[in-house]
Amino acid sequence: MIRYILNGLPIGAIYALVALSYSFIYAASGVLNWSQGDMVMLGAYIGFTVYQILNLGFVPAFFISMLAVAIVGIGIQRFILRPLRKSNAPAINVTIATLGASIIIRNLALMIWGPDAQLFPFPVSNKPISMGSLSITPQDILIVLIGILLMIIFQYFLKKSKEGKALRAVAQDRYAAVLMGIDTEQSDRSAFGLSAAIGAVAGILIAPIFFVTFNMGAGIGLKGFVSAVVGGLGSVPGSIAGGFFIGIVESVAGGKISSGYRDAITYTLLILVLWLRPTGLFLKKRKQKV
Amino acid sequence: MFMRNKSRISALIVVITIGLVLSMTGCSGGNTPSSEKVLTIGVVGPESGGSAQLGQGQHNAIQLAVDEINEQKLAGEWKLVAVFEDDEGNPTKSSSATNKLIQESKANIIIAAINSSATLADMVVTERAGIPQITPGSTGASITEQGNEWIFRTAANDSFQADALVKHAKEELGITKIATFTSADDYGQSGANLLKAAAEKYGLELVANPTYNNGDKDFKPQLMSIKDGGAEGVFLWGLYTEAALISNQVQQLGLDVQLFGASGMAAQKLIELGGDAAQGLILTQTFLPDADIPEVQEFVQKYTEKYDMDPIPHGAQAYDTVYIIANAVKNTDSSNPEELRDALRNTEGLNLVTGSPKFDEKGNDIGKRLLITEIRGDKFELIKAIEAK
Repeated sequence: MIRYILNGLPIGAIYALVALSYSFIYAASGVLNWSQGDMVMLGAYIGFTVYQILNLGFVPAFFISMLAVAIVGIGIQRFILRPLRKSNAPAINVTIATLGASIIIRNLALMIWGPDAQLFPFPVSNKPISMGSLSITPQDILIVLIGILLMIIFQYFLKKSKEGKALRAVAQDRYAAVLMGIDTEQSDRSAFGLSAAIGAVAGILIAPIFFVTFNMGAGIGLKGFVSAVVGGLGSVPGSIAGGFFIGIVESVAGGKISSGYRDAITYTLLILVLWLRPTGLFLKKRKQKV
Repeated sequence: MFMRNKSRISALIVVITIGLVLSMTGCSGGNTPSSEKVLTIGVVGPESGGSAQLGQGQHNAIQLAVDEINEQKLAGEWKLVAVFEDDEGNPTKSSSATNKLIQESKANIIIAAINSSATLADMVVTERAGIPQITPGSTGASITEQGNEWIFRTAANDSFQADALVKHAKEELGITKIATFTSADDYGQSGANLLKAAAEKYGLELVANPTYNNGDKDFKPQLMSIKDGGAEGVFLWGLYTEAALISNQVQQLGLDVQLFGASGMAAQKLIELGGDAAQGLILTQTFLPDADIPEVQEFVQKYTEKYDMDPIPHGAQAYDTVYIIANAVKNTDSSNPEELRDALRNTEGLNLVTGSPKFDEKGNDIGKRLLITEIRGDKFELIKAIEAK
């Protein structure tokens, strides 16, 4: 049992990052951005291009990818969210528009990088370290560590920095924040840019496990979204817990029950949560969003 | 304000439409001039998605064969025209692609598909339309067990492959405990059943038989259960992307097992994605580019000249398929589907790249040569060749 839990952690960390990015945008700007999964894919491809094709090293690949994908995220805010908001379009229209953006991005990736899966190895070993019946690879450890580190930095940013405080204020009450002189346009931009960058990190971290493919964002994006809902959509800590929870549930379900039912179990869980605890498993009640 | 809203909504519609149009790129249509003695071959295969390399290999090889046959007038007075459709390996898309080829491109014969579940879906369409269909890539046993008289298969039958692999595991490698790890679609499930039957036949113990869904990325939970069962050999039945991920994760878990696979995953991409984790994987296929057989060498030379890369086994089978069609239309001198079908059934005397094709009453090519190969370095090496029963 411990083996399966351990195995669920790296995937769980990825889901947690993606869940966090959904929740963060939802909390800060009140919309669901369906292109988050494709930010993961873009992050992986840009990282792959910088690291494997341009040979600029892993660390530069990591940061260039974050930056580039953040720009794409801001672009989505600028060209989709902003105009729709200005015309007072309902939130559902924004969500549908981001779905359109997602399809465009996916197909652009197909045209640029082609249909074949690409190999994106980590600069650390993926040979297992065994302890009794347990085994874990340095790669898995690195994924979990980077993931958790990023979550901590993010929380710190929200609680301590001026921009973070502004974002939290907007999340709590957009109207009041405007009255207080907070630039909500700026906070939308930060939310989309930061979430995209977090998605990019998730993409780079998952790339050595999943390979890089143009449609990888669909699966990860959906699982990340489910994690966010199960943990509490709009809550950063809830989404992180939800991500790890779904990662572990999938691993245990795949090993102990049947992998054929793995997705069915995950989505059944989603329906149960929506039915019984719509605010998410890990929140007492809905009081604070970010 | 109203006008403004309206223009925003139209912008939104434009955005979504562009996305949908982009998602359809890669499909190619084509109408053939209705001149005399033209045989239109509709081709369906996965040119994008998880088995894209197989679909592209099929596409290239078919185009090569069609060009050669037309240039050298090998189909008598008939000119062959191939029209291609991408199905992404998806049964739903595959059957609508087949339908489109028959209805709009007026295909006289269909080559489809690679993925067994797609082929099964296409067969419903071709049977209803009464058009012969040949699958150069699908090995799923159930395809030729439906009593469908329009289907032919130029891929090696899975039961032949499962038998040969299990026999090899037992007799050459001394393996006694095995596990199967197969995709949860028609192809994988029929593979699992055939492997189970072969294990019983040769007296091997089957200790675990988990499955996975195509597109899965994490296989460790199932691999842990295989490890618990103490299997010495793990038989994979699926496509190359998943097989490469599985071999990586076998290595990450430190599992000491021999991996086996079938022709469905035989692609260069398996070696590339699998890296050193895929080394030593044993799989059956019908074609190896460096096998010392004159027909193989001639094909490889022509293919590499045109495309600057090695052909894949599915490509070789697809190439042979076009020659079989050319032979049939030449013999019957008609594009009437029933006559074509009967001419296909009477195929004989051809010496092609993957054997000397001959169809049984179910449509299986029983003239295929089967090769047991192993991944060594950056290529598949021949261990031994088995002639068809």
